[in-house]
Amino acid sequence: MIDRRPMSLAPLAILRIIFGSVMVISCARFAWLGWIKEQYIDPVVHFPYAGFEWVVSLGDPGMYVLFAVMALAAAGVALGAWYRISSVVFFLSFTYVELIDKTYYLNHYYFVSIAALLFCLVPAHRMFSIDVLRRPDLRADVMPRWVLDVFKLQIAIVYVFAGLAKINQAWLIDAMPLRIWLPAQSDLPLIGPLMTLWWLPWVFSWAGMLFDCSVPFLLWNRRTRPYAYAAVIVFHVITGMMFQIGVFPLVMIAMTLVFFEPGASRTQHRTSEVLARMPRPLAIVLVAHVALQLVLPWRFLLYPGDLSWTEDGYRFSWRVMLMEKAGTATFTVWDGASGRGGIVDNSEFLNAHQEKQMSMQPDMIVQYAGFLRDEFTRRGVTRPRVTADVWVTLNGAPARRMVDPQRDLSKDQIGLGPHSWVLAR
Amino acid sequence: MRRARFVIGVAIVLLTTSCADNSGPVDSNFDRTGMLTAIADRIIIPSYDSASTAAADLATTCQGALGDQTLDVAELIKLREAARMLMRRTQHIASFNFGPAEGDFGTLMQEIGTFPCDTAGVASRIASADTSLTDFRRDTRGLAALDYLLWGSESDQQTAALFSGMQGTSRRAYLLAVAIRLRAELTTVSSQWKSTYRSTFISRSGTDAGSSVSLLFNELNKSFELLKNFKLGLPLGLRAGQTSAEPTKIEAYYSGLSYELVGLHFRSIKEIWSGRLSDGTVIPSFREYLLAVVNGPRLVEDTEAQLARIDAAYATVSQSNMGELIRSNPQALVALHTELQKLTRFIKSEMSSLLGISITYSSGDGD
Repeated sequence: MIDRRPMSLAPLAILRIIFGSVMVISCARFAWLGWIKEQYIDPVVHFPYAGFEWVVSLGDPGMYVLFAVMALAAAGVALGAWYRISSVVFFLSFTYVELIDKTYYLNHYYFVSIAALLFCLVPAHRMFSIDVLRRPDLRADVMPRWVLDVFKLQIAIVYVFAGLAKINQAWLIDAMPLRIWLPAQSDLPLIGPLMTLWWLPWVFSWAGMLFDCSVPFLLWNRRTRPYAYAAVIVFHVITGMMFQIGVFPLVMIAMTLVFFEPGASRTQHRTSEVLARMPRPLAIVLVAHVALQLVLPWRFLLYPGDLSWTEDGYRFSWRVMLMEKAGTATFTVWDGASGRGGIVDNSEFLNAHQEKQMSMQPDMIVQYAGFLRDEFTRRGVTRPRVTADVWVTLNGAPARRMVDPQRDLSKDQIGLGPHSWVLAR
Repeated sequence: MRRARFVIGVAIVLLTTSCADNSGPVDSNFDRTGMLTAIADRIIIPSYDSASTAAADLATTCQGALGDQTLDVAELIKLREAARMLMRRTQHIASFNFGPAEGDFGTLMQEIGTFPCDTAGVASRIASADTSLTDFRRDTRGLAALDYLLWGSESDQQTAALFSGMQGTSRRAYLLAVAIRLRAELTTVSSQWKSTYRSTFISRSGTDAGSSVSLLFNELNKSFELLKNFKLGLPLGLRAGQTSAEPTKIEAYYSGLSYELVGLHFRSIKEIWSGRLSDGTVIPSFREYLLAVVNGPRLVEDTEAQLARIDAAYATVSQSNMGELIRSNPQALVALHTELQKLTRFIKSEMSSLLGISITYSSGDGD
């Protein structure tokens, strides 16, 4: 089962160069589009993850400095310069930014965080790197096969879980949400006119599911690999054209290159002792990581209710572009002394992106209620209660109430427990 | 091979059965370019045109009436009529605050429509004969200043007298400057729509961030929020943190035109959504677009029912002076506000969801 022959280190080094370069581009793009300011400096409120409330925006100029450090570290990864430090700094800075506000959660950012973590653990700098130029003794030509397999396994996990998540009534039978999304794309060059064909959503839904479920295996198999990679390019280019998914197609097209590897090394290489075997602590960390990756996407089973409605266990599960969900949330702050209620203008505190995400995600609704309680206490409201009338539409169905409009949401807490304030759908 | 055939077979069966409960599959090729063209030519450009014409009329009337040293009551009444016309017509451009309406230092509606008037600010500007009107104190100029200057005194005679003689020189100059500024602002935007922006607007026929459909949708909602939150919610004291009603914080407080303007603002929003123009013709707009997409007809039905409820709530009040209404009969206005609030989800989240419109202005990544 496990191929114990060592293999060339070149594919790993090349993967490192590609990953680091894409991340440099990604950082530059983020700054260039003004998103550092818009997403992390301007907002007056952020939505941290439970347990990570200490991760806060560093403001201006702190956020710019953080992104500069991140870009520098990514360049360090690409060049293999002071790699151990660079890779750790990149992982930490990137993950820190992602943890500031769940508004901006994206599965591909999560994937980048994981990939960055894996790069911290592997000897990707021991070929084609500044570090080898600095210290020739670091140079190694071969490495154990598992090093690359970890990356392949991680990518396979992403695709397969994304595919499994698509096996449901809405996606396959109702062709939702693609029946909503495709006609909106009729202005695309070349393929635009096709987007309005009534049957296309079903074709895309089934093709997407089959692609996600099978592509890792087809990439793993040497005979099907070139075709599978061509499919990867076509799939990600099309979805990249259709949806605002930024650098995600580039990341996946780049990272799936890991499946292309030379055959077993024929010539004799000098293999340093360190690289010949996997150090035990590292083995434990990696096994734990993979195990966690295999279990996390299933955690929704522990929670009651409809996953796409309650979103208990929705994030960090590779549920990518799976539903069309939108809500309107009207919050009322009640003065505990006078009993007077006042309606909150969300745009006073949230940017459009934050309001959109908050209005349909149960944990963010409660976090916002907590923020409003504190904010209006500060403004002189006595013992404020915060209620909300939240109407959410899922895959084009008529909107339904998400929470009891009488409930004081500022008393609810987010954590590992179920989102008990959510009404049944 | 066998398995593949089986899968395809199952897919076909599922497809046909799932379509059976619909009225039949239809390609949803709604012509967004046609919609944008119609909205530009039949609503936006004529609305800007008539608003800028009204502003030009007002400026001319001002020049005529204020040319000599005196303003008599007859002239004042003419001025007021011209000002009223302009206030009414600007309600019809309130939702098109994008493109040419976006200036370097703010939008057209911020520039001309900020209320309530800073009356002390206006007084001090008149006292210091400052007619530059270039800073960020927009509540000292625009329609709010017009409202205060022409209606702000006890009687018509008093108002006219303030503009007369040597002591009225500075006030005459200020009113004229405000009117000329309004004309300049409106004419600029109106002519840009006609010259270059029309084709830009029509050509961006996608649904992504920055597309005209997305702009139109987002600005329609912003305009609706402004109507609900600031023209009604704020003066009624319904906003979080307010401890009482604030009846002076309304649009057109002095002229008593406020409730009529609320009605016109809402009518303009309804017109953009439904495409039903005042002359009875119907052009393709959001309503027709919704009818062409999956689950859209249901939303059209819900939206129209709510629009009718708002119209009914609006009609329960016949008086136009909202300041007095808030003091005497706020319940009717609160009821109107409640009905408006209920419309939000239909024209905001549900509509954007079904049409696949980007709700943000910048294209944040999604997945």
